[in-house]
Amino acid sequence: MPAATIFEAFGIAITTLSHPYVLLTIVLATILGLFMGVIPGLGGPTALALLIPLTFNMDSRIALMVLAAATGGTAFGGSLTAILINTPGTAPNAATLLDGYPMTKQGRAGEAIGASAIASAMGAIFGIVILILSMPILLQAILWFGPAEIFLLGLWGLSIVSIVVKGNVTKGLISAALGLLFAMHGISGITAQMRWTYGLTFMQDGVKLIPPIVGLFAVAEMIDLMAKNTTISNETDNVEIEGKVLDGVRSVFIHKWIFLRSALIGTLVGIIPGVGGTAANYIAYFTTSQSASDSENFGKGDIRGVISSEASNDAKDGGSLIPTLGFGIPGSATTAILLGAFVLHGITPGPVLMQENLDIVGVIIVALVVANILTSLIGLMLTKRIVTLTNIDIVYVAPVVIILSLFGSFAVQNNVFNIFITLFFGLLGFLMITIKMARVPMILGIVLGPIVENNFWRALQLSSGDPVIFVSSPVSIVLLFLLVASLIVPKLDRFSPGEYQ
Amino acid sequence: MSDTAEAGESRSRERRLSGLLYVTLFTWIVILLWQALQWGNPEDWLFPVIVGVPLLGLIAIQFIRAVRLRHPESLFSNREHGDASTLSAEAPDGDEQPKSVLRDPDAWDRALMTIGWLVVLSVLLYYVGFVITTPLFLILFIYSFSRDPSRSVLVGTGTSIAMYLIFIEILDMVIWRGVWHI
Repeated sequence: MPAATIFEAFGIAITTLSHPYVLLTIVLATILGLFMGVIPGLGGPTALALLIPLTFNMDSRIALMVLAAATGGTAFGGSLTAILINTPGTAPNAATLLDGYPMTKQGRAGEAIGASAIASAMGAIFGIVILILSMPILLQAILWFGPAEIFLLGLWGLSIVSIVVKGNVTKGLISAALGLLFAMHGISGITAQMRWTYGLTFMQDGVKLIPPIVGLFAVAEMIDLMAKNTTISNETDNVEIEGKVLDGVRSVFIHKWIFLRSALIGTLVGIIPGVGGTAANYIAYFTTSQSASDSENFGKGDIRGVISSEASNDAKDGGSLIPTLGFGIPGSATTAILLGAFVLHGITPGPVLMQENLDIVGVIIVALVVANILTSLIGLMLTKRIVTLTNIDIVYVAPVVIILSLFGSFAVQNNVFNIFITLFFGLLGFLMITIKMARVPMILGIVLGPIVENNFWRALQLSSGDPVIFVSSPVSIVLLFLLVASLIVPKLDRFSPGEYQ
Repeated sequence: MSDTAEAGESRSRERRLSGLLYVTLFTWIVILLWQALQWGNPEDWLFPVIVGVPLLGLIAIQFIRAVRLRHPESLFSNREHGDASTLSAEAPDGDEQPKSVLRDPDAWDRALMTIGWLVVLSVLLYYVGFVITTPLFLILFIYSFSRDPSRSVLVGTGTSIAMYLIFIEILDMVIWRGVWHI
């Protein structure tokens, strides 16, 4: 029986979690996420894309708990390498190294890790609290969004992500538009017209979400890393976890206002569709450094830099779930994959989820809270072991990841041709990395393409073909304004968060 | 080769690759749009055209930026015009200058080799399936780069066994056995 309120949903989630098998699975998923967060190319979206096949035969609630737990794990795993060896395991951890690594060089690695662990866990909980508090508003706000509004929201999400990701705006928009075109391949959901199937039977089903994600992130990253022939670091033999962890923990409470502001920034940035963790990370860090009276200390081992970066990085997860769960519009590449996992398990994100599957929402929230707490505890215990993973030569990691990726792609529909689609996107992704074109907008284009097109036509059907429907409500006018502003403002103002990356 | 000349060569390679990619994309999208306009129903072609036409414009803009058609012959030759130091300046589109695969010929060779292996992998997977291909690919791929036979066999075999146990025995998943059903 579906939960009627979010508190009933929490009750169902906690009951699910209390089963020893489920709890053990969550712990294992968290540890796996920690390890994967350490290895470049495996954090965040890639880790989830590789884990999805493992969850196929699981109950949908447990599957989503596993994925939420892994998400929490990868975030902290990435911060460990950022602090200890100056190499962020995932892009959203990039700002952490600015002060984290100098602290390691000063013999204060333990302090940095302690601060990171607590700031991460509390930041995640902060973001989730905002998510929970916003749910009554969200449930009401959903009613304001009809097909025209969802169409405009999807377009705005695409335009925003195209602008704030790494690289220039034009390339970002090209990437997003290509994603939209890929999404239109296959049988049209409106007229059943076969569009761009190239005469291939398997293309009638179109381009599903998982093969492109796996290709663009996992396979492309492995090609790139193989090309650069990296071992992540040769320094791990010399890594010493000196310094007092508890000092780092205490510092988060001493700088509680910095923590709160950074967590709020992370949550708000996470809400904006498509922006993701990297922008939140840097925005929070630079806000903190610029507002400090002694800003010259930042970048030289200031604990405040670690706190602000990690708090925002983990708070954004809660924020990015708001558009993902509420409207079915991903807040980031990671939530785009979570959305794919929803669909695979027969769950439709968006208004239907909020109204009929609130227990799923509760499951994800509880899993994120538990995972972030576990991540910090386990991460503190296993730091040295985890970091030694960075010594592994990419020659051994890459083929394993590639095989796992292709297996995962095949397993989505037991369709061998998904392997070819994955490899195509892997090659495309590598070319995009080489010419510095962001890949996240393409994924969002693939995710949002059907949403945008279907709602476009639904809106016109509702209005009997009158395009005025797209400007007929206050919400649609606001969204249209935001859309135009997001396209024009970057041309007027050269500032872009991407330039900090 | 000096750093400046190396940066110049890297930018030249990037321009050629970018130019080639944009030309390919432009051509592909023109073909897609032409096909789309053959569909009779506006509900089929309108949205693709709304997306595709501006996309062509964006690609044209990027192509011009990428190859800097003030010197069109630079698209086809290795000679660069102007002072090489200007080539290492920040590109006008505001792109960063992170370390690029194109800067290192060895990196590009490794990339091509990896891609070649992926082509071989896809053919093997299609015909003989995962059970045979996985250990074969892992062992040969690792050996081709590391030249360490014992480690190649150890990692390849161990990973294959682990994957078999996890995916087939524990998770009971269906795997592809290949067109030849091995």
